[in-house]
Amino acid sequence: MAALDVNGLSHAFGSEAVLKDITFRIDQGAHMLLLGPSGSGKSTLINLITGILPCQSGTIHVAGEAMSGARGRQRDDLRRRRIGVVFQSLRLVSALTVRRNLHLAQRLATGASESGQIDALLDRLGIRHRADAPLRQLSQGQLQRAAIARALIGRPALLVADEPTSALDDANAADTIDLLLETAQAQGTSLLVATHDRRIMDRIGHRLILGEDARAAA
Amino acid sequence: MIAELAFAYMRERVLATLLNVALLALSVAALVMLLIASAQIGERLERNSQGIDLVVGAKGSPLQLILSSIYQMDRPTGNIPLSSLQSLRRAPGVARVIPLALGDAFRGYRIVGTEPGYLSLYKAEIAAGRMFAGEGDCVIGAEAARALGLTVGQRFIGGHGMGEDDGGLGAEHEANPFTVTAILKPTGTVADRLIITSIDTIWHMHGIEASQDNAAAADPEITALLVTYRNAAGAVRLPLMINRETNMQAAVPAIETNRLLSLLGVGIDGARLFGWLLALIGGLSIFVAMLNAASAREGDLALLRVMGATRAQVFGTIMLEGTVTALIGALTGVLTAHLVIAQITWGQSPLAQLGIEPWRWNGGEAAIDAIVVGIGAMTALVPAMRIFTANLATMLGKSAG
Repeated sequence: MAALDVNGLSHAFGSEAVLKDITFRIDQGAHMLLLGPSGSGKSTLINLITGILPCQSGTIHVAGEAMSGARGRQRDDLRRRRIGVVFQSLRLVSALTVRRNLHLAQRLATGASESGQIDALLDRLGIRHRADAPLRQLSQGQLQRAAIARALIGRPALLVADEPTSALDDANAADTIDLLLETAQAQGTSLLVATHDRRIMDRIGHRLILGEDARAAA
Repeated sequence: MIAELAFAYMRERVLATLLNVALLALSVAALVMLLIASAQIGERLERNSQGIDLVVGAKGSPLQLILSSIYQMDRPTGNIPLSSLQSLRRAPGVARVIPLALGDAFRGYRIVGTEPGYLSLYKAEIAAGRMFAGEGDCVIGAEAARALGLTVGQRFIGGHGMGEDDGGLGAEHEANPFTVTAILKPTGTVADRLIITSIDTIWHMHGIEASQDNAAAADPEITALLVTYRNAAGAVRLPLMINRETNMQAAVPAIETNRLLSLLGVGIDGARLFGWLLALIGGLSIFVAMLNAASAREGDLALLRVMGATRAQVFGTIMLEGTVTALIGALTGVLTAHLVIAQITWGQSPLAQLGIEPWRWNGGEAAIDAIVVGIGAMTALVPAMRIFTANLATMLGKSAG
């Protein structure tokens, strides 16, 4: 069963077509880069896959469950159970510590909270010692690791990362993509990384290219 | 989840939260203090004047006569001849006349020369000891006994004066000490704060050797008479007769008390309006704070939605934060009001003399709290609805960067 199966997906805002007949698949445990310049439809595709936007045409299945055709609450529910999301800057709930963020994410995803699993994940990401510190005391790199932990704590079938390294320096960018791949691999989670950060392009073999870059690549 | 997030956000903006709580607490404190004062003053004035239809005393301000003779608050208007007591007792339509002799005190607590019948006006019962009988005997109201530390059998020396600060601090009556013969049970009336003795004792202390049975011998005086009518005819004839045909005045407690309450009422109404204005300002402050917080937190709230929180959960977080802020403000305000009243009614202040009980709860307090919490909830509603109806993709577009 594929972690993500997109078939004939098209989307338009008014009369402006943003995505046309997109078809691809990510197998369970596999990873894919989503490339394309600004305005190429990367964010729209991510919003459709995660159920933030309703699907207009084509089908999307996440871990065998249909995102396309689902109503708002059903999409929210599917996202909650099956998908983790990492953004460039929107990482954690600001009022909570890393540990409380992870507890919250775990409860939302699974309905329960397990401290042992949280500690193990924070250990793997090397930020357990910062688990109870206020977020303002964490570095950019530590915040991005915490965001990865937050996205993975519910053991999603698919992790979608939208420009996860763009705001990081070289060392932190390399570190983050390594941790993302390693942790996803350890959990059997599939990865879809949307980026135009050239520093990480060679880390993931499978690519989906959108917009002008797609024509250039072709 | 909703509660954890709401409290986390309140902690995160602790200064803004405290400011809003303080604004609401101030308004609630002002409203509750007014409520307690107006309710208890009115009730206390009514209870203290129950069974007294008319007060007869020296000419002067009728309100002063009522305040000094019934509520034991102001100085008396002067003295009247003892013969007036017998005259009034013989008058048709009069059921009861109780004489009062005022002018002395002990450490700020008034000494009242009267008859045992005075205690029956307030349904005062003896907790320990016996009723005053001989010269120098006295019974002490419950609150006065507690404040002065007096017990049955103890002796003390009274002094001239009735002021709150200076009354009875001297020892002018050193030759005539009082002996406590009884402590009264609490009555919730003015009797709780009095030292009550016989008129003969007062006269003896002041060198007047006379008795009520032999009034003509020394032409002694008393301060006032508390009159209870036998029937309605007394109410029609007696005040007119006294005011026109004698050099005394007759004051009706009900009329003077109403006048006093209406005078107080103007001030209380003004202060109440001010209190509600403060509550409105507190509500507006919460509204602005919540609106700004919701805008600043749009990214957080979008992230929560992405993580799987429902619209209702995000809506509930904002509503709970506003409501809890208002609730803390309301409860702090109630507590503050009672603490302030306890402070200003401590000792011999005018409010203490009115007998305001700082820790007696009034049903209206719950209503004030409910309204203020409602204001908090209403002000949180607009930002909460804004987030509830916002498009997640748009919110993310603005915040996810």
